Formats: sequence, C-alpha cells, structure tokens
Amino acid sequence: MSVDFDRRSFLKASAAVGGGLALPSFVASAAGVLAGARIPAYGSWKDIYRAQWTWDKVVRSTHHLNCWFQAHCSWDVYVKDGLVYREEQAGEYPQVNPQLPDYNPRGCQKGGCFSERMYDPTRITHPLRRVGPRGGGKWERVSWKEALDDIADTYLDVTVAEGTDRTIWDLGPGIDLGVAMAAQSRFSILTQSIGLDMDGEIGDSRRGTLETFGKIVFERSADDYFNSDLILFWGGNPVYTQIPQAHFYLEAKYRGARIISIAPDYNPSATKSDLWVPIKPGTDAALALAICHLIVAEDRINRAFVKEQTDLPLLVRSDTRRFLKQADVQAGGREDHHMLWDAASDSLRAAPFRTLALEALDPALDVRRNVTLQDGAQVEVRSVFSLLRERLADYTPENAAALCGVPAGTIRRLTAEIVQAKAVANIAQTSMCKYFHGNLAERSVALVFCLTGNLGRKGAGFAGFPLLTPDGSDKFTMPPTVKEAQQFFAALQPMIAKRLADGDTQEMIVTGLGRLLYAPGNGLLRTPIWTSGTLFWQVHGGVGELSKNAGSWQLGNKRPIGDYLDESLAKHWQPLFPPPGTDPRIMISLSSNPLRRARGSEKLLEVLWPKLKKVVVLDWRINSTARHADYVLPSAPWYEHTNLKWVTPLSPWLTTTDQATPPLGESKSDWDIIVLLAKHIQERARARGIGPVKSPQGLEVKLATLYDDLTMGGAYKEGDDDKVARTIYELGTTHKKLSWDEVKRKGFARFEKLPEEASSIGNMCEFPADDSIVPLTFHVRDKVPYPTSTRRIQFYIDHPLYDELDELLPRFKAPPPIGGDYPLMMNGGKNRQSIHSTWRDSPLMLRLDRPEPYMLVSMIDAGKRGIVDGDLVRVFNDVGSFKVRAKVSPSLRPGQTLMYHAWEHYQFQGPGDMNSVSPTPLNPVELAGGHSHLTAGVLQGQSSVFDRDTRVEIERITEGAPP
Amino acid sequence: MSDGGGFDSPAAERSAVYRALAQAFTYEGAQTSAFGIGGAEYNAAFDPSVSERACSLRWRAHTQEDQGALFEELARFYGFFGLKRAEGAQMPDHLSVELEFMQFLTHLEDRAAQRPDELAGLRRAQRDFLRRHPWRLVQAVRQGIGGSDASCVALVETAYAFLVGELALVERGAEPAAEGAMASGG
Repeated sequence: MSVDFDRRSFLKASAAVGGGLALPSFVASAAGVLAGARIPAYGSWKDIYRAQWTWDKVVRSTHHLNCWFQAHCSWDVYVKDGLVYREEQAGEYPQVNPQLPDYNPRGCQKGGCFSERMYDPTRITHPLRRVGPRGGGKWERVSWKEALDDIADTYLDVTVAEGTDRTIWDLGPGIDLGVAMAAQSRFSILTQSIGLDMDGEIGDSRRGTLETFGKIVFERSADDYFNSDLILFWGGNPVYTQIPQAHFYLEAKYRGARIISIAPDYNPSATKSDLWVPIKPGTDAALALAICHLIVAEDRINRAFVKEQTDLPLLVRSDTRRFLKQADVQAGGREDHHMLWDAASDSLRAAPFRTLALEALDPALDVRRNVTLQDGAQVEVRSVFSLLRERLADYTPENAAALCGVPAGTIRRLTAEIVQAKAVANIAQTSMCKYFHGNLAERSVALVFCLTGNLGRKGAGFAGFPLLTPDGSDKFTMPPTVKEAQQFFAALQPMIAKRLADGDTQEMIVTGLGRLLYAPGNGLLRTPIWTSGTLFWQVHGGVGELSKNAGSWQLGNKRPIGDYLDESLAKHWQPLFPPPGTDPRIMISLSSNPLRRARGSEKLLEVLWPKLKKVVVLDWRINSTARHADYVLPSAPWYEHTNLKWVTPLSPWLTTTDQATPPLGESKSDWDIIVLLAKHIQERARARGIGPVKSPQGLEVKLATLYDDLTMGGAYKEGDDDKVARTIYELGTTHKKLSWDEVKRKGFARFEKLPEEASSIGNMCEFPADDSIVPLTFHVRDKVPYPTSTRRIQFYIDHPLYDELDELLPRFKAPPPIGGDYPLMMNGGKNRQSIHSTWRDSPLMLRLDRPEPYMLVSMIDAGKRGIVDGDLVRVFNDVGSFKVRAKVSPSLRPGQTLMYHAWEHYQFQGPGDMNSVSPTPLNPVELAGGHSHLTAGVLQGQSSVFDRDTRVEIERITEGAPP
Repeated sequence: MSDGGGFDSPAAERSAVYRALAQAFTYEGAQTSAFGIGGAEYNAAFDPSVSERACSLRWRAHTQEDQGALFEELARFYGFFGLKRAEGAQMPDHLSVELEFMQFLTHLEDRAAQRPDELAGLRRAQRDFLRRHPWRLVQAVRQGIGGSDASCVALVETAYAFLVGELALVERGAEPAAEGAMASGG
C-alpha cells in the first residue's frame, strides 16, 4: 500500500465524515461565534492588528533556579490567553540609603527570555515513560496514574524488602528550600528516604572558609562594596558571572575605590580593574602567604583585631601539636577552654569563652615557653602566631614569585595597597575550593584579611558563601502538623537552655540542629535525612574508581585514598547513606541533572544505574539525566506556580513567584508531584495490605498513611502551593512588615532580620532597612564567639588528618597533576549565557555565545599544536577524553585552558564530555570529623569535588574522527 | 472532492479534512487516526522535547522570529474571529492548532455560503492565514521529517498535498486584498 494511496483514502474518508466542528484548542469569546452568525469583515491582514492589544494580567514573578550570587530579580510577567508572552524587569527596588547605589534594574538576559525558554520545543508537558532500554531515546506518554502507581509499587517493593534507605532524592542546586522542598522534606522525614547534599558535590564546599570560621555562610549586601576602598577580585569573575550585581563593584570606583583582579587570565573582570595581577592557576596560597609574610615582617598587623578575634594568641603544645587546654593545666579545667599567655599579668590564662571580649587580658602574640601541666610535667607551648611566623618565613616575595608567577615587586605593591586601605573586601565565589588544595588557598587569603583586621566592618571583609533563606520552612516541614509546631519545638527548649547556660551561642545551637539531618535516629529530632552527595557518587556511583591511579598524581597523601575513606566512614566522621555495600534502588532527581554535572559522570551510568530499579526525573525538559531515566515527570516552571526561595545577602530581597498561568499541558508543580506520589504510595500500600516498616535506625515508617501524614490530614494537599508558601512565610521570623499577599503583589520583600536557620545564621549580622548589610558584625562588634572549636577565627586545625598531611597551619601545596602528567591545566567557571544547564542549549542564548561546546586555549598553546580558532580538538588524559571546539584566546595564559560549565552531555560530539577527564579524587582532610566544627552540617563540612587541577593534552582532529 | 482537496469541494468537506488532519497531528489523535501512529513513534518523529532528531510541529522551532510577536499574530488571528486559546491547549503555533483554526474558517465559509461579502473576506483570511502559518509550517516539517517512521511521513505528505490544493484554492478564490496580502512565510 503506497503512501499516496493512504493519503487519498484519508482525505476522502475525512471529507466523507462531513461537518461538525471540533475545536479542542479554542473557546469562543462570545455566543454565536461558532455558528457563524456574525462573521467579522476581513479586508486584509492589517485588520487583525487594529484592535488595541491588552494583557489579561501582569504578575510579579522570578526564576527560582540557582542563580546564586545573582539570585534573584523581580520581573513583570505579561499574560495573555493562559500564556506568558514576555517579561520585563520590575525595576522597583527602593533606594535603601541615598549614600549607596540602588538595586535597579535587576535581571539578566536569561531571565529576559525565560518565556521563550519555557515554551521552546524542548518543554515537556506530559508524564513520559521510556520505551526500550534506558537511554534509548524512545518515550511514550502515560497518565499520571500509570506513572505514579508504577513508581509507588516499586517504592513499596524496595522499601519493604530492602529498606527505607534505598530511595535516594537527588537534590540539585536548584532546590528552593521553599514549597517543593517542603514536600520533599516531609516525604523524607516520614519515609526516612535519603537526600543528597549537593553543595560539596558541585564544588562549592568553601572548605577553607569552614576550617577558618567554623562556617561558610556569610556575605555582605552588594551595596556594601560601595563602602570599600580596595576590592580584590580574587577567586571570582563577577563582571562575567554576576550580571545584575557587577555594577555595585564598579560603582565603588566613583568614590575612589580601587579594584585589583588576581586571576590567571585577563578575564572580563580583569579588564575593568585598576590592576591585574596574573597568577599561575591554583597558586593563590603562595601569593597570599607572601602578603602575610610582608605584613608580619613589616609589623603591619592589626594587633587588637588579631588578639581578640583569632586563634593566633592561643597556645599549642609542642609535644602533641594540639591546643593547650585548661584541662591540661588545671584541676577541674575544661577541655573546651583554650589557653593564652596574658602579657598584662605575665601568666597563663584561659581565653575568654562566652565572649571574644578580652576585658583586662592582653594576650601575647609571639609566645614560646614552657608551662607546667597538671601532673607537674613541663611542656613547651607556642602560640599559633609563633608557629605561623615560622611558617611564613618560607614565603618571601621572591620565593613566592617562583611558586605563583607573580613578581616579587608586584607582591610588595599589592601588600602595600592592602595595608594602606581602610576597608578591603574581596569577591571570592567558589573557584578556589574547586582546586584540590583550595582549602589552603582560602585559609591563606582569610589570613590576609584577619592580619589586617578587614572583617566585620562596612566595606571590609573576606567573602564567604552567600546564602539567605526565610526561616519558616523547618517550622512547616518538621512537626506532624503546623498546629503542633510550637509544642514540637518546645521539646528542644531544655537542650537549648542548657547549651545557652553552658556558654554556647544561638549560632552554634542552630548550626548543631542542622547537623541532625546527617544523623538519622539521633534521638532528638526526626528530620529529613541528608547525606554527602560527593561520597554517594564516589562509593555508590563508582566515581571513586577513576582515582585508582591517584598515587601518581602527587596528591601528597600518606596513604591510599581508600584508607582515608574507610577510616572516615568507620569513625562516622562523614555521612554516607545507605552505607557501602547497601545498594540504592530508586533515585528521584529534583531540580537536578547529575549526568550533566557530576565529574566523572559516565561512571554513574556504568556503576550506579544498573543498581537502580527506578530512575525518576522531575523536570520541564529532558536533560542529560532524564535521557537515562525510566520516567520523566513534567514539572511546572516558575511562572506556573507560587513559591518562595532562598536568596543571598548580596541582594537581600525575598523574591517570590506568583502563579501567572496554569501549568502547561499536564505539568504539575514539584509540590504536587511529590504529594501525589505520596498519595499513590498510600493507596497502593493499603491495596496491598502493607503495614509500617522500620528504618535502619529503628524509626517507624507508616506507608499506609503517608499522604495523610505528609499533607497534615489533607490540610496541605495537591494544588496548595500558594497555601504552603503562605504558611512558610507566616511561620518565619524574617518578614513581618508585609503580608504574604502584599509580597506576592510586590514580588519582593527585604529581609528584616537574621534568619534563625542553619543555612543562613552564619551571616551573624543585622539586616537594617536603611543601610547595607555587614556580615560577622555580631562577632567583630559584639564579640560573640565564632562556631569554631576555639571559638575564634581559627588558623590552626588540630585534627589528626591535618597533622598527618602537614596542614595544621595554612601553607602552599602545588596543584597536583590530576589525571596524569599532561602540560595543560583545565580550568573552569560559570558561564554567562546560562544558569547551570537551564539555558545551555537554548538557541537564543547560544546565539550570544558559540553554538557548541568549546574550550578556551591560549594563542601560544594553540600555535604550538597547529590549532586555529574553531578547530575540533580531542582533549585527553589518563582518565578519559572528549571532543570540543577550540576557542583560541589571547586572554589565557600559556598552560591554561578553560571550559565554562554546564554543557549538556548531548551537546558534545561523540562519546564523552567535559566531565570525562575529571576524576576528582577525594581530599583526605575533607573526610575529617569527630571535631566540633569540621563535622558535616547543612551545605558544609563534607567532601567536595576538584576539577580545576585537571591536567590534559589537546590535539587537533578532523571532523568525524573516532573518539 | 478531488484528490488532495479540490477547488470545487464544499467548504464543509474541506473543514472536515482540516479537522481530521488537526486531530491526526496530536499525540492521541495520531494513534486513532487512519495512520495509526504509536506514541513512541509520534514522539520520535514530532516531539523535540523527547527526541533530538524529531521535527517539531511548532513553527517556533523552525524560525528565529520573536516568540512573543508570533504568539501575538496568532492570537490576533484567532481572536479576530472570536476564538481564544483553551486552557490546556497545544501552543498556538502548533500545526494541529493552526489546522484546527483552518477548520473553523472553512466551517464559517460553509455557514456563510449565501453571504457573498462575508465569503470573500473569509477566503482572504484563509489565504492569509494559510500562507502565513500552516503552509510554511507544513513545508518546514516536510523538509525535516526525513528518516522518521513511514506513517509519520505519510501523515505529513498527506497534509502537504492537501494544503497544496488548498493554497491554490484560496489563492484563486480570494480577491486581492485592498491593502496587499501578507508576505508568505514559506
């Protein structure tokens, strides 16, 4: 039967059916339209444009993905016939203070085209089930009931037969800590299923910041940089990556600030600086320590600050290399009290414990003497400063110049600029911590700021990790019902009261409560369970296998990496659920795309995927991960549901989405999908007669009432996104001036106070309505102790792993040749045309960039290899290879290559992608635990990933060449 | 009617063909149509959200025109004749929606058979809309569909052949517009 015959048959048959109107895509705007009673006179196409165009409505919304430093911007969203046609920057941010620049306009090119992105042909609108093998690329639509019943049945099979910890929530960087996560958190609390903490796994650990400050979260409002006299772009490229924010940094020049860029490449931020200091990639610690060397040698130390705020006066025993404790020298002395030598009384004294205020104490900085222990033994003690001075002796400008490539004269000039400025701030994103020894670089840079007292003042400060979350979420998600919230949290009061009485701070207590997420069955609170995403991929995903030859990468380890990991897990220093040997069975990806993101991600397909009985992805497009899923559930993008989400102090405005249109097709909000999954699990559990089961920690999991319990007896059910958002908002303490309805209408509301929750409390400052936000002022101004083991900014980490690896104090370690002995270092960075992978394959954004993955290569390296701009090259090392276009750039230094991130796997030609060459070996010090401030907590204290040291070679290949 | 839609076909018959084609280009309708296109095959052929090699049935995928302007033009066409997008409908630039609208215009022609003034206007509207939207879209789909499931190709060829006839019909049947016809997007 020919196609032509079919065509004729079809047309004839269709015509024979005759009249009858079927218009499922339309509704008539008036009676009689369909009957054709009155047909408008159509003269020409111009007639259709004569009527005044009107919008059905304009709502305030935003894009709740992880813009992070840029998060978020309020937009006017224009709606017609149930579709968003366009968006415009709201541009209504008030001027906080006439002495400071304002926030208008906020919004970048990605946000400005989101209505295009959400309706482009890659948008999925129906639940999809794979047809054929995983990754085969064939999909069929299924009903929500079919999909959810099947997932629910698998979930029940796995949970009953194998355990509650076999279901994994792959939580990506786009999680909202708002309505969607409220559903996921309640699901996890009730089922004791596992969520992956992705912070370290995306390379954002800020490990050195944690080691130094006991926390990573603290950052100023962007307008406070206007108060700086010297801004160092050191570890960040804000002109390229912080589109709505960069103006603040550049505007500081109008009041005389200088900007110095310290970066390997002449990047877009360097071009806007007064001075560019080129540096070898990964050698920032050497430069920072040379600056510290000069500061100490020239006695430009801010002694008052150092004595009060840091551990430099604290004493360390020479025999054990551990801090001298009160318990060492005094009967009944405490293990958590540290000792110093008081110059005023010329005696050994305990450092202040409940406060940083020294009162009558005058700690000596440079101490080396003997003290008498309780048992009468004499032991030498040295102050941290004394040890540090010795260490810094190695970092003369000349020595450092050989390590980092910055001339000694430039180091001296840079030091002079720093010590002469009244307020020095830096823009450090999460670049350094993506180097294997990035923790040492962060500690070293922090030392520069602390020696000079540039912290906790307007315009002055070391930049931590910016995060700001409304604090109503826990109050909504943790108790059985909202009504029981007060009673639920009242149970914690005795513990809180005792800790306060014992001298702990609110910050320490809140941070400690956050750590309960990593300790299921902790006996204090039933919480959602989070575990280390990095270790999950390493152990269960097989990524660790890529480091089998790490012994040749000069990591500086004393033992094989596996030994460190085994020790850490055996001692419960780091969280990993399920434990090794217990295979995960179900993975549900929420706002996540690990097969695009995870370094060494191809291993996941090889090792993890076969263990999984169901892979479910919630998304609005079929990203790299969804292509290998069993089900893709169409989640509604931000204009299609109401929500609130975390932001950062840089732009301290809670920014809301107000549902502009109903979800397209059969899409649903993440809240709805998770709630409905719970509903189907409950229905199937009842139908199958499945009763309660126990978690590995002995907690009861009631599957037959999961939906009832998750929805608080139906009080917050599917379709209730707005009600949940409202409740979270109203339960919070951070916004009291505007009602939820007023905030939705306005689109944003300034934080009024420090949130009382684990991911934000580290900012430790006020949130004034009429001035900039200055983090750490509660420590620096009010003398509240830091959440470190010494209660001070801590440069000496007396943990056995740090001792073993000679990292007790900051030092420089050369970036190891990860991946093998190859001449080029593959650096990376956030890209400008996308937020992670969300716009990475958007044709509109690709028009602003290059249309396929490319690697920046220096002119010199390209020339040596006969590579010209646009050539296809093979990038390879001992671990893997991939193909990419070369972008030959005069801005890169020889030996450096750079790949901006987030290209989807399917955008590369042939097998492999930019993750194929990044084995990301574990750094042993990040496996530490059993320590008061190196313990895993919310978004901190866990293993990270490292791709910036990766060594590669590149070679020109012809089009269509085999991999 | 003659093969591919004849010039002398009654408007009701043309409308019925448009209806059948509009339905056949939907996921559900493709399965129940004479072409019997399975869901996976439909997705592989026509849905770029699930298959990179698929050829989209939306004009948006074949053009670099501004999406807002495209939506506005379509909404104005639909709205001019009293129609609004139904909640849950396909996007306004989807071939099935455009064919559905042509179904409506031809249906109106059937209703206005005895009202010559209205008939002329309707023919002009059909010509402008057809040229501007489903015609250029079906050509683009026909170009991009190569290598797909034979039934999907047959469906596209059927639509193409029908629209060839339709275009000839409306070109002949519509008087030149007083202010000039809309540029063809083909």
